[in-house]
Amino acid sequence: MDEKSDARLVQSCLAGNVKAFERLVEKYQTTVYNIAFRMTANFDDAEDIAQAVFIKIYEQLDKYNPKFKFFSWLYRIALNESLNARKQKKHLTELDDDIIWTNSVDKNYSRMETNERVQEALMLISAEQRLLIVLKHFEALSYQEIAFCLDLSEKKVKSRLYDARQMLKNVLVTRGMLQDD
Amino acid sequence: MIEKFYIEMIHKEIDGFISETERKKLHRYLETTSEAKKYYAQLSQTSEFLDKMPRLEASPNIKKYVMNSIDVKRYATSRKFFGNKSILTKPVIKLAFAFSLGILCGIFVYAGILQQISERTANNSDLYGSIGVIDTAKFETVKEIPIVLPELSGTLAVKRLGNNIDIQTILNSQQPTEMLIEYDESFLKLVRFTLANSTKTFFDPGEKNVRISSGGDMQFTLSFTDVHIENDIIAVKLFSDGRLIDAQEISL
Repeated sequence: MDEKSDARLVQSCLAGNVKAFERLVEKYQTTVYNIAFRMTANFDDAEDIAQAVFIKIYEQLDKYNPKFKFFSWLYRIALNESLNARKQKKHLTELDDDIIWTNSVDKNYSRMETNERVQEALMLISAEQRLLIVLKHFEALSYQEIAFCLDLSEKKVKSRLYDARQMLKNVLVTRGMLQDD
Repeated sequence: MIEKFYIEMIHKEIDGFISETERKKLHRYLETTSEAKKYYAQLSQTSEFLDKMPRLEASPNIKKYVMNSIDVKRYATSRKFFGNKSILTKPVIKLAFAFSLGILCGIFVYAGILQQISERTANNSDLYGSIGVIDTAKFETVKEIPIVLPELSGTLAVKRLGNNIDIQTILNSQQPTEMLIEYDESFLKLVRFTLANSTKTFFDPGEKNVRISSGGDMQFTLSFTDVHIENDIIAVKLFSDGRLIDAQEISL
């Protein structure tokens, strides 16, 4: 991530240059979309979340503190939006994650692509644990960057990430994706 | 039961933060503990699954929707004046700014109106020359021609001061009257028409003539300057009710 370039784009946008914001959207839309999808496992929801994230970012751009990295701030908003969207959807449908996903647990694994099965497994761990895995494995953030995004200490990030990964491993073992002999 | 220390080492290795010494120590431990070895293998496989997950392409709708949804003028006004550090945060400052802006706008609008008024009342942009006063009492009467006709009566006096020539006309009539004065513009130049009474009179200067008409009486002075003093002749034609009633050539 080019921090200086981000800072310039933010500055330009605050000076009234909408094209600069368009550049920021172009630069980060894939990242935000991927985070949203990994958190929701739904393409439409991911698109809605990504749109909401960028609109929120634009509206709050004058509140952005340039001493922090822009992308960290963006991640934080993206994660919050993903969690909120998920909570809202859960509230509306009154369905639990486990119900949604255990329904598809049968002997269908062989027909499903590994990636889809891993995504399914991801949805079976808690959203907070999933967040850590998304940031570490999909976005390749450092412990420090994750700590900023989630407003946690590095120590807590490490311990929670280890727990999350262990939990996911257990789900994959349970679902027969990992050997257990 | 795997020691907590080694569980942490396994995660550190997966994340790439393990030192060489720690790594050697970990692998010696894994050789001796089958449970730890299995844990390590499963966790490494989990990490591998995650790292192989594809990156999805964002839909082009995202940018399109976002750019159509945002208020593009949000940062276009105050920021341009004050850079990135907005001072328009406190309500009092905002109010003062709005008030000042209002005053400024008022001044601009008022100045614009004043300018328009001045343009309408005195557009002097195509005027040039000098202003002088000629004492009409100093003009000498060159000719005074009485006009006695059944339809109208009056006098036509030619007066002169240097190369300034005035033709003073008084005509009394009960019918529509028109006087056409033809002149050679290479010798004479019409400079002024002065109405001497309040009767509605029309003054229509042409290229080589001037037409003066009214519903009845006429009193006016036509002022010329001559270019070639020796050849000043004008032709005067009088019309009454649209009919030519008299025509004369007058040498000035």
